[in-house]
Amino acid sequence: MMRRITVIGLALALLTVGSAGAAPDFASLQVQSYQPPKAAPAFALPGLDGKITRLTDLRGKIVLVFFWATW
Amino acid sequence: MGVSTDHHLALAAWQRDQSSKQLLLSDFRRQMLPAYGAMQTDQASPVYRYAKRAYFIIDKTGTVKFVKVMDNPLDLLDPAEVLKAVKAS
Repeated sequence: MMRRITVIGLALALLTVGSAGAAPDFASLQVQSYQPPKAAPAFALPGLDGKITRLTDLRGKIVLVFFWATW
Repeated sequence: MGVSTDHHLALAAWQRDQSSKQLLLSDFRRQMLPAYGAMQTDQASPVYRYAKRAYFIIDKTGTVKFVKVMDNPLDLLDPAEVLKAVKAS
């Protein structure tokens, strides 16, 4: 009996760990995985104060780039 | 960060109105848009070359992980869903 409880507990623990690291369903998010992985093209653009920001300035951070305009 | 084809002074005025603190960059010279496949060229448009509405997620190593380029610039993804994708990257 104890052995069965241990096995069930272990299985639940593994499921929990697995789901915590699982990626969300990107199809439902409408965001497509980019295949094959590609280095982001470099850029150097002015910010609001005219100061230039480069992609390399953001290395080490996850960056969401959102393109928009006044259409 | 937001990248727009509007001039950086126009973006600054817009940000003041919106009380936004997001990093906004101006691609007024259309330098970044073609490299990301996010530029629309329309000879019938007075703007001629303008940005598509598009989302890219770049991971900590500088690799593009996810992308969504909208067919219609008036369409938006659900911000909460995009945030989930960012957190998963």
